[in-house]
Amino acid sequence: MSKRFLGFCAILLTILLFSSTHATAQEDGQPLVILNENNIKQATVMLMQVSDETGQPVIQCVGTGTLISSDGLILTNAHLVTENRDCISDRIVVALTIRIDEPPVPSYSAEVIEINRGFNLAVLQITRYLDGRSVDKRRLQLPFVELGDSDATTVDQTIYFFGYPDLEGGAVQMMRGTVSGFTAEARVGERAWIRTAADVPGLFSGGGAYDRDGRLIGIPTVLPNRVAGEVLDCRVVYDTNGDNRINDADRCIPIPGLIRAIRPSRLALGLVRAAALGIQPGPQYAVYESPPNTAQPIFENLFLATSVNEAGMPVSIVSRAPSGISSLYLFFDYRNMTDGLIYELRTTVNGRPDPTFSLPPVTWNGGPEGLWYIGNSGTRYENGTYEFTLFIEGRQVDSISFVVGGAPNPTPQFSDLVFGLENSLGQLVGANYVIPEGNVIRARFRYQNMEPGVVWRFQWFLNGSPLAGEGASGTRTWELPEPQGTFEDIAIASEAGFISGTYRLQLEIERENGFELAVLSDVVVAGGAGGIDAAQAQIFSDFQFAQNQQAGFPIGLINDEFASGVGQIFVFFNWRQISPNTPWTYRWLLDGDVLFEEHTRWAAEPTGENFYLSLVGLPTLPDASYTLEILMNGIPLTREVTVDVGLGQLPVEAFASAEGVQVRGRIIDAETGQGIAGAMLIILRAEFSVEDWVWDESQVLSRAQADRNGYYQIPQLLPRGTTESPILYSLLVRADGYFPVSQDGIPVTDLTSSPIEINVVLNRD
Amino acid sequence: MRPFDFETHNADLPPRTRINSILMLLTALGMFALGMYYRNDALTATVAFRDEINGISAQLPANWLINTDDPNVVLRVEDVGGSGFNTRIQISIQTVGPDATPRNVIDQLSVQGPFQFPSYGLLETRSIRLGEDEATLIEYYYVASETNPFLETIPVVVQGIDLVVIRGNQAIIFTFQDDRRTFEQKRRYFDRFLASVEY
Repeated sequence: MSKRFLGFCAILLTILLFSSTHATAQEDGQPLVILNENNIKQATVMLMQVSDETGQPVIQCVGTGTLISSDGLILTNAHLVTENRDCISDRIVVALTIRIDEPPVPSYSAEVIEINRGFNLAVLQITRYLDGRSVDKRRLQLPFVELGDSDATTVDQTIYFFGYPDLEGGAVQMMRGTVSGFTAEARVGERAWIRTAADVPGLFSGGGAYDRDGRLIGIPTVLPNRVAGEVLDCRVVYDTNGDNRINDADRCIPIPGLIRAIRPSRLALGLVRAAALGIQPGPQYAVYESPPNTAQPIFENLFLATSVNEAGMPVSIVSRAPSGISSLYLFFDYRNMTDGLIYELRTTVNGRPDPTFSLPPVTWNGGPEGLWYIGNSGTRYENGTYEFTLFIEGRQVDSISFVVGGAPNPTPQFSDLVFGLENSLGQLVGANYVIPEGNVIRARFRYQNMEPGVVWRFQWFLNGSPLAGEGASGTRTWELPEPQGTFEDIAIASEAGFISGTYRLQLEIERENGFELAVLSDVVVAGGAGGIDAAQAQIFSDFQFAQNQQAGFPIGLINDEFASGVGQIFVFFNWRQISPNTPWTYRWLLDGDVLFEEHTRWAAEPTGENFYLSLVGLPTLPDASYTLEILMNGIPLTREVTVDVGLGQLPVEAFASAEGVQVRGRIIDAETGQGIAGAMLIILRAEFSVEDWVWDESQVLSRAQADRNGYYQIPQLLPRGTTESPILYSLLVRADGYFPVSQDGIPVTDLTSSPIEINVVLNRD
Repeated sequence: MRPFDFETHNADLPPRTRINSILMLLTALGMFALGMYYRNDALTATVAFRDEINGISAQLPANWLINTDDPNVVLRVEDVGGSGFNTRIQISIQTVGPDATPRNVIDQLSVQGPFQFPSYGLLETRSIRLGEDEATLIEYYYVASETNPFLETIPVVVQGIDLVVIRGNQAIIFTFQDDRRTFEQKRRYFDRFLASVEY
């Protein structure tokens, strides 16, 4: 049969291999870039939350998302795909950009499969057609983008935003902007946000920000602006109450303001990885739920620090800063907060709004009370008077003024406050932010520019309330002659022993205008002595893995190795002396990479046995090494709590379904230039060439039929070779009334950009 | 009078030219006949299929894509050179009870159809003979549509036949499906297949 193919000499085959339309740009003398604009546009989807309240599907909220795999995984903001007070919905509709310059077409419905409300990120899976039929995700073969390295982003770097700008049915758009800085935030740390000064429309929220290579480096994120709790811009577009009139009685679609903040793609990596592998967090012993709070949420005790330590505490507190500083963190205490509230920081410099040092409306996920910070590093603060104002639900709650400028002023200063145990000599042992229950809490701090006679004072707190009694507070006069050094003579003792909870030590120095805050830090008291180092608390112990649980006890195989194909794993452990509501963090790692990370609060009794967490595989957990880490105040409290499933490492092909090269193109008539409807393009498996072709399906890697305009798309990604050893593919094209054509040796390497277009011209027979 | 009266002037043609003209004409006719022969041969050419495990053999249309890897079927062959829905012949086997009749299997297929195919509907059910055996046949239709939203493909109304024979505890189902517009024209492939099948 191959001879027959070769015998058709009058074949005109034009195979044009190129990455689909490349937009090129040359800016400021920088090298040309390759941004696969059309592919990104087609991978950018509009998400609509829809409800059937009146018997008809009505769009309640809209936003943007991005396809991150060919089998229909979508990355977006969590607030766009979860029901909330602004958006009552019962399903999520995905609209695709079929033609680049046309509005998106509702095509599928999707379900949330992974979510991190703290990061405001979610991953959806396309599951159904709009008529309710299930989707075979392996056959979707949708255009998608790859995640880039958001940590490599630099200030002034050009980035490209993709999204749907309005409700008027416009096409997907690209906007260009630059990175103006980075914002740090409690629980995430540095680079919690990438900042931009570009005027990106709010409906781009959930879409993508890309680097010059077209890799997704962030998710533009903003929530609707509010004034006194009410959405500022909310538009009535649809008849949501079914009265055949569109008026104020209908529910409106909230429209966010301009986007100034981008969630780095780094924070989405774990979610995406878990979604691709079909792993979800399973049942656990106790789940913390934010209590309903009727009291007014409060931000208070605002202060500024120039650096933050690993526990998220201020290293030293400043009341003004000299010229040239490049990092500043606004700290504040919060009370009566509820997860899901919207908070915001607005900053003015010399009275003018400054978006770089502001934080646009974002979702609160810090629990009811504690210490929080928002900051910037790597961006030079110009001289001037900075006014930081915090808002909750559009309501101004507190503000602080801060001056940057002038020469460094060597005033007395305290810094680096840490806590530890007391040894038999009354000396501090270790340096930590989680210490075991005992009779003494000892602290240590550094001092600078001190001189004898300086008056300072201290105050200890427990769970936000000042402690009373001997050693709980006091005012002292500095006596040490050295201007700088380490001070350890501060401790609080209790004969009955300290109960578990979150303690705080606050130090103040008397200055011209009275006492000023110099440094403070929180320390969690929990567990007993004997942690992973001499000075650390042992809170969690007796870890064991099991296949299942019944009535809170491990059942089934109990081991630290499980055979391939296990559907779930439970980890059980005992705990002691943890005060309810204490913040803690647990994270699952897969082969060393973070899969899930949950910041939560202790919801079980103070001491107990067989607390359990679990992972569920859909349908089974892939072979890998799974590790559990538990932290408090940023301090790891576990070591090597690991279980192996199967081989103990991910199979090489674990992500194969999401990697490869997409092939699409057009088959046209040589005479007319028109597309040939129904023409068939077959790609053979790499081990076969055209000469081997014997009409056996087992030789076929994939095949596709041209649509009415001659366009086709191969419903399977072509596995990549390497530059040194490319995989060579063969293809066959057949159509009724035309000479068939064939071609060997189409190379696909690790450098081949996806998709590739193969256009074929056929001659009539 | 003859209806056509041509005046000929070939008396002056030399014999060699006359012979050459006749030879050329004969050659053209011969080539035409050869072309027709090869065309018919191409259209009716078959390849042998034999499944030793299931004990089924048949002649399949040549140049159709043969799939024996699908665990749900014994065989599926498709004409992938068509323009639209790929004409399809398929053999599948279901295990049945000792008292099952072809009609029982047909009823089951009729119930499953709407769940497998959009807009599925029955056209006809009748009993026929397949060689020595009693067989039951249903004709049906459904709508086949492209699921890729990036392709503009108008849905096709597919007409199909499921023909069921019972062999011991097995029901053998022979299926033919094609675009409704070319169904009758291409049905001859199925008829030839049925004429050749042994099980």
